[in-house]
Amino acid sequence: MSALANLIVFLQELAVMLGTPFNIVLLFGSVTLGIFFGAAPGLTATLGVALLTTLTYRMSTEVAILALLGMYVGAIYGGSYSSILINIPGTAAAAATAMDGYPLACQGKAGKALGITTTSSFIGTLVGLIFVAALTPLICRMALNFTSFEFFLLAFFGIMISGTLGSKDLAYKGWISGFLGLFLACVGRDQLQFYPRFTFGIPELEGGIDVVPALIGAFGIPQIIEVLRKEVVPLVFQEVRRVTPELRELLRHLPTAIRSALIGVGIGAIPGVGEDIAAWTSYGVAKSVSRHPERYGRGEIDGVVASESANNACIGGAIIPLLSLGIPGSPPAAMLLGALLLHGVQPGPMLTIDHPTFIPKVTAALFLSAFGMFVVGMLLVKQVIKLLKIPQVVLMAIVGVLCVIGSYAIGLRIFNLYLMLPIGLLAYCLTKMDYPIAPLVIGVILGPMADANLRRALMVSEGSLLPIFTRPVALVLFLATIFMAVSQVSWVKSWFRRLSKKAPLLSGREDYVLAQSSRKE
Amino acid sequence: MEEKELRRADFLTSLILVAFGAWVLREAFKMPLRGSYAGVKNVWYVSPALFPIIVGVFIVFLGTLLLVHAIRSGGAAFFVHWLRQVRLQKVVSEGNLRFLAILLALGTFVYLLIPRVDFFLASALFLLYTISAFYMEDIDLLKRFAKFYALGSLLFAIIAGGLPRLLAFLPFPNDMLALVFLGGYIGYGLAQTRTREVLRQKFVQSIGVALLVPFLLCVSFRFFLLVPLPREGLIMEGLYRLYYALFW
Repeated sequence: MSALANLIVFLQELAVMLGTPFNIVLLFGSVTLGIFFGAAPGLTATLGVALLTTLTYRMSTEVAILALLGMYVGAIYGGSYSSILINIPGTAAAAATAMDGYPLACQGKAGKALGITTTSSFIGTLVGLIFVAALTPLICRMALNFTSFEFFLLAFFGIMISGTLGSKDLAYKGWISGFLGLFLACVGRDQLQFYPRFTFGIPELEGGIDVVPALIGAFGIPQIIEVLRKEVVPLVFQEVRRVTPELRELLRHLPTAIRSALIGVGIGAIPGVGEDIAAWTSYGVAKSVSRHPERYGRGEIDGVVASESANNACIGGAIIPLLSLGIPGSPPAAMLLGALLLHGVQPGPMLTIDHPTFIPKVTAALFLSAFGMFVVGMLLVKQVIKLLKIPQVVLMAIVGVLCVIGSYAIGLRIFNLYLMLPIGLLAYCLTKMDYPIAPLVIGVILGPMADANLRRALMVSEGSLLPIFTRPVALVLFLATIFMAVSQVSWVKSWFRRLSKKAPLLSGREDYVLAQSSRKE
Repeated sequence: MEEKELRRADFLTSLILVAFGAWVLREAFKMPLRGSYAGVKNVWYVSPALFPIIVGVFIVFLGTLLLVHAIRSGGAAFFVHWLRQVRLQKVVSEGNLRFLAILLALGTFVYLLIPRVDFFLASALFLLYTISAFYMEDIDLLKRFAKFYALGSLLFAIIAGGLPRLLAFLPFPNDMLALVFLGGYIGYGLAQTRTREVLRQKFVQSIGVALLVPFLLCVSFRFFLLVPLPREGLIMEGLYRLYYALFW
């Protein structure tokens, strides 16, 4: 489809989505719910998307996408509420916002900070949207030339890079997590010869492990256990007077917003690397290029703008590889992939051929979500803050029931629940030992693709691995994967460190980025 | 986790991972690598074993790397030291008790109640126990609630699983049993919080949430989204009758 045709479909889709009262109610409802999920400490964007997937099961794909993107955009933005008002990030993505947002709130400028956050998030989402519309069809077209070798290496690369960048401790803990996900994907009858693998004679395992219950378990159960294990801490909210768009203020910070949004899109496009890393990176960059880096951490508006525009732009970035290659760019995008598969949409290079109008539809839904987020953010802040006063224990117990009904409702199989809980416990144990969960989930999702494509590729080449070295894209992916593995070897790491001895971007308090750079050898 | 604890955990995990990877390999090598399976001639590169073998090899390899790292950074020594120093008192810490109480809630909900009891009753029991036990912020009360719930679940499992004939004369025997369990828990909770006004208020709130949330879920899933619930019994039957009486 040409750019003009895409634009027409985009506008048509906007009209269709806004033409039905149900859709408008659904949009604002899912955005509000998303803001609540993002703002409530303990609830996350991924969990919100996971639980909402169940409710969208019977909706049309377009309406489901509108609801899920509304939830996703709302949740990433909503994390800033608790960051600014109680200094506890509602989501990891909003942790960088707390650095300057909370000091602003302590100075009596909570309304101003929330206004800036809302406008920056809106701008960030729009920048991400532009990249989704522009790049996804191009990548799809390019990926049409991929053969099975490229797809296998792409899946492998996705797992490796999300393991490397997502791990707080040792990089190979991320890889282990990814391979455990790949193992889970092996369970069931294999796609080519229908041979039962690791089924132990249990008929329910023959079809493999359903992705959605596995994801709900991996993201929901650890969250429930983590919150309930701790003692209840009463939350103290800073007062919010009036929230205004702060357009004039934002115009002064527009370069930061645009730069951070671009960083957000770039980081979002890396498989499995989520909004939190985008926010911290752009925060670090904003601080390093600022004329007044000493103001950061004391209520600098630039810091809030940087992290919020980056984490929301990351949504668009994460959707690009999801739609074009079938590889999710972030954990909530992994959940989105599960939802798309449930609705019979197979993301990947064939998307533009099988569903030619799907990308404009997604961009229309993303645009409406950004708009909905802006409106709800400006008008309903005080109501959302009231909701935040519901005790976390009560919320988590309810989330427990939602996880159960959500896992069941997808396939109407009680057996899904029997799997969800052990997967959740495994994910909890791994999280406690600093293993990232995103590679595990990506492994479960990409496992079947990696398995089938590897064997298909070898079948075509009659067992030869030579095409990896003769096909340029395959070679690049192979070398990138090897480089990633080798770069974790201790002497290579110390050599790199010697090469790039620069001043640190962030202060000692910002330990997340430090944890990333000082990964143990 | 602190660095020391992390390395200790790494040591143990790496051993488990290596063993697990070896098991994956053993199982994978039992799959057809050559010959013919279901009329299809097999060569090694299309074998269903190929991918599990790769996964197994990587798990063993990465597990070994983790093991080496854990030993080098003192994980093995920390682990041995921890084994020598471990005391029952430390194992039964508040954090671990809370963890066990959560496991009890989730385990009984998924494996005991959901397959046997009406979804409304199963959810109400889970919510009532989880909220009342953790919302009170009183570890003694948590222990008492957990003990009562564990005992109740055990009795339920014995009667529903082992002695079903006992209640065969009742319609929906498991639901009746769950209803008695729910009533018993409410009575026990009210008795436990009798003398403390704040805790009683919280317990009453817990009862409200435990009844309201499953009701909303059952109604929205069954009547609006038209999704059948895992188990529909006593309460759902009542809701159906009410629904048909009101809307048909």
